[in-house]
Amino acid sequence: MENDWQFDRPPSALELVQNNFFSNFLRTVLHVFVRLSFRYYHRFQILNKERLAGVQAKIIAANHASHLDVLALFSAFPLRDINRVRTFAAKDYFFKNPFLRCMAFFFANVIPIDRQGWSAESLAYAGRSLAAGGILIIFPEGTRSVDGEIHAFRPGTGMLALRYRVPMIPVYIDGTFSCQKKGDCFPKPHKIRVVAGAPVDFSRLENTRQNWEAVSCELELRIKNLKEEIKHV
Amino acid sequence: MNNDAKTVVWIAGSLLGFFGLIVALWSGIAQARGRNVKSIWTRYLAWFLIAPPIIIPLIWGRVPFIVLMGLLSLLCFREYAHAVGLWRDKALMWICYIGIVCIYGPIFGFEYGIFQAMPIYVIAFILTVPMHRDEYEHMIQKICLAVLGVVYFGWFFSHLAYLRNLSYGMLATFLLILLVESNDACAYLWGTVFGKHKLIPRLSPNKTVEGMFGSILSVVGLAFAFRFLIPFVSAAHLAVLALAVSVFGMCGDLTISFIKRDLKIKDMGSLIPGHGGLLDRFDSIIFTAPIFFHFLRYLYGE
Repeated sequence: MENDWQFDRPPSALELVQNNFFSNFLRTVLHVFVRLSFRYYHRFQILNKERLAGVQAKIIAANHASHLDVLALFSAFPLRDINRVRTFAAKDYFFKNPFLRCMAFFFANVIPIDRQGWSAESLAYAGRSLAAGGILIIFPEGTRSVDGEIHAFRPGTGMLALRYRVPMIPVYIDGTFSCQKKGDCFPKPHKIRVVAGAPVDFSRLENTRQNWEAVSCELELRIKNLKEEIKHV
Repeated sequence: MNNDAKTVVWIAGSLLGFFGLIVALWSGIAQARGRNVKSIWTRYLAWFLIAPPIIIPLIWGRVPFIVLMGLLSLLCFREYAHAVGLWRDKALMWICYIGIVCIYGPIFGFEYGIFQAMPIYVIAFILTVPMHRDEYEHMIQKICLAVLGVVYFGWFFSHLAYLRNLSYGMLATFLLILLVESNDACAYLWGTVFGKHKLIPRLSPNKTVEGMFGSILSVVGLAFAFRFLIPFVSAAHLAVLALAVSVFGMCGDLTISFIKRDLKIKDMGSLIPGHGGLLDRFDSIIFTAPIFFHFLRYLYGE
């Protein structure tokens, strides 16, 4: 007898992070505590907060030095908007085991992506979130910085900007590297500041690979400028 | 903590230490013979994560252990359902979860008869799913997968929980877990060092004849070494029991193995570092629990 049973594949990373009422509620509750700890433990400060406000969809590009970065960015938005904010996260790291997956899902509301190349379903999912007024966080360096400096931005961020034509906001996060660098277990009580840059509109540019790289370079430059600006503040 | 609980803790601790020494020795020998020994330390260290959540409810009492086994059953079933694709049918999944909980229900009240009859009613309920949906396409497949999951991961597994109900339950359960897990470990250790002849090359290429006989010998030896845990069992019965645990433990291993082969996946999940999913760890205990339980209960009563 021929075997014509069709076995469905196990759920993909994207199917494991579908939100429902419970996960949205839990995320809100968790972020109340995150905010409290940021406020009193890290003396959290947001500069140019008005640039992050508003109901329209946008993509936040930020430097990445620590796991606290994403919590800092979530804390920069009002609590009622918490479930609008999504983060792009590397599948090979955050989907290694169920614990990391749950942390990533419940704290950071992740959209899983491959570090090697963007899959069509992740892009379609990101597009749907943006169409629904989502705020996407991306760390264009692609990994945590080991020395606290800002490293070269990868072109994927430019690709997102030119594909979805939404405003890009460069954000510099200061202090997270001193709190919890790669490999540190528990965060130290260092001051954390989030500086929002002016929104950049790239919608005039044509969607080509050279322009993706140009956009990424531009964002890198702007974040480095933000870093210089607040150095002596 | 009473004396039985102290015995369990002492044996568990000393066995972990003892296996640490054996693993150190064995990895040295295997490395000298040019075998790969990288994964063995991860596997060994993962036991320090697995042991406390099992040992603590075991010595705590009857009810916590049954609850823990129920949760493990549900998680195993979930892992299996994710692998075979049953998870897309959410309603059927809930029916299976409730079925597994129903199978565990009678264990709390020592209801042996209902416990043994319960799977019939759970299967009967699963069989009515096509009727109240008025659907027939792919229903044989779905129902078969659901029934296999409920019976294998719910009913087979629940015998381990009922074993804890017996008057000598704590020590007998501990002996079973000890024998089955050391059976796995011994087969692996004997196999990596002396393995030459493949046992079933297509189903599980890493199983060797030397590993099998080595583990049977080790398990019979261990059963007699820990005979004081169930002193009322006669020597002949104990030997048969140990042999059964060893052979059927391997069958359990191969059951999950053929499921994985058919689905073309490597591990059932990623919960335990070095071991894969829950099913990759508890595969042999699922198969052995009913045999061990019925052997003891039939011959030596409750």
